[in-house]
Parts: sequence; structure tokens; C-alpha cells
Amino acid sequence: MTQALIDLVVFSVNGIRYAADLGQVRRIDIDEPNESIGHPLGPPAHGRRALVFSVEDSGERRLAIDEVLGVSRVPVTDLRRMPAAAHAARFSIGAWLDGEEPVLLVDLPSMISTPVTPAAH
Amino acid sequence: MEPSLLQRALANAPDRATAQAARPDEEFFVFRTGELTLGVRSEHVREVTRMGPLTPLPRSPSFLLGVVGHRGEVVPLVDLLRFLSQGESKPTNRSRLFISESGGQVVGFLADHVIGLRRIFVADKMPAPAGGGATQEFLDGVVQSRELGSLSLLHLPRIVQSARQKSVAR
Repeated sequence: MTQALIDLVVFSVNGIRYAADLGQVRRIDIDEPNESIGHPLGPPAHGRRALVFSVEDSGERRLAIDEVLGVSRVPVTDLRRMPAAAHAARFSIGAWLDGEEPVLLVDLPSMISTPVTPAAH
Repeated sequence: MEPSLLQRALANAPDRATAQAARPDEEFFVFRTGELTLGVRSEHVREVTRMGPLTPLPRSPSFLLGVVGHRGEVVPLVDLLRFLSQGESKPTNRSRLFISESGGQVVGFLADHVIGLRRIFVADKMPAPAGGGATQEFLDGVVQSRELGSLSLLHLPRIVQSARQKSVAR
């Protein structure tokens, strides 16, 4: 029996690892203020990279990040939905359990409609 | 033959310790965080464990430190000091987290130092002092103990429910 796998783009912002669905990422580029969606994950510490993704009727948008750490093919069984008690921001859709360490899974298009306020952490 | 002193004493001895049963008690998990000594009913505490890697959650309330992985589950971690507006916890190597389950929600809480399980006589519980502000609604009572000093007993289900409502209301 084959194990279901999913490809995740793993990236970092200010020292924290995040992951997004590889299928949502068009390319990796430099950050362009005109297309930037702000800093929903907090401002990058040093990088000027951006994940470029497309949004229906809105063209391309960019999420500023520090660096892309790679693409990981992970078993679906290592993914978890965000616990109800956490009630994180709408774009924080779950976590990939990399061993015992949860890596936050973000849904890039959902970041557009999330009000832009400074990150709490 | 005359019954011995011991035989007479045994004839009057009770069948069981009725005096203890007449004084109901409850078991609490007791811990310290910051300057506070706190207790929660042991039935709400599933496990006590070391602090593992913490993943912060962007745009979450400040009392929600993030999520931790625990036995294949992703568990939100609450800082009680921040939740009760009593300062903030600083996780160290000695910090422990206890995993609680209440109303189907699994939530972790940070403890600076675990004291252990203690039985508290219900009659020794005093109501939370009036004027305790927002903290008061989350207190199940206060106990003055020779061993622990002032011990605040928390109503964990109310805290979990409120934490969830505060998160949703953002």
C-alpha cells in the first residue's frame, strides 16, 4: 500500500519555520512592495525574498520571507488540523509534525483577506 | 475468662474510618508559575511533560504562546500568567507543561515548577476574594496551607472556554 504524500515549500520568517502547499507557489522572487501583502507572519529579519502566489482576479501577490529552506515531501499522516482551542488566524490552517516539532501550515491566498495588523509574536 | 483490654478496645472499634469520610476532599494538581501557587482539579490534568519545541502562532492573543507537538497531537500552549494578567512566564529548562482536557479541548499550560498532587478538604476552601478583578471568575476558591501558603484553585474548564472565546472574538 502506498502512502499519500504532499509537497510543502518550507520557508523561514524571523527564525521560525513555516510551510505552504507547493501547488500554491508560482515562484520564488525578491520582494516587491507593490505586490506585497505585508507581513502577516511578522517582518523578515534580513531576507528580501518573497513567495509569489496567484490569487483569483487579483493577479500575483508576494509574501515577504527570509529564505526558502526547501521542498519537503511529507506523509499526509504527519499533518494535523489546527486545534479548535488555538483558533489561530484564518491562514494558519494546521501543522506538519516534523518529529515532535510542529511547523505551521499556512494558506497563502487566505492571507489576502486577513486584516493586516502587526503579528503578536 | 475476662476479656483483655485489647479485646475490649476491639469490640468498640469502628468498622471503617468514618471520621475521614465525613470530611470530603478533592484532589488538585498543584504547581507554581511566577509568584503564584496554583491548583487545578487533577481530573482535568492528563499528563505532565517537559517543554518541547514551541511554534508561535502569528496573530494570536498574547496568552497563547503557540503550539507544541505532543504524542502526535498539536496542542495549544497557554501562559496562565498572561491569561490572568499577572505578568508573563519565561519558559526555562525547568519549565514543565501540563496537558489538560476539558470539554473535548486539549490545551497545554506552562508551569515553572510542579509541586504535585494534594488533597484539599472542601471545607478549607474559601471563596475567591472580592475585587479580584478579571481573575476572580476563574477561581474555584483559595486555600491557606501551612506547606504552600496561599493556594489559588483554578476553574480550568472556565479558563479553557474563555481562552477559546477570546481567540474567536479577535
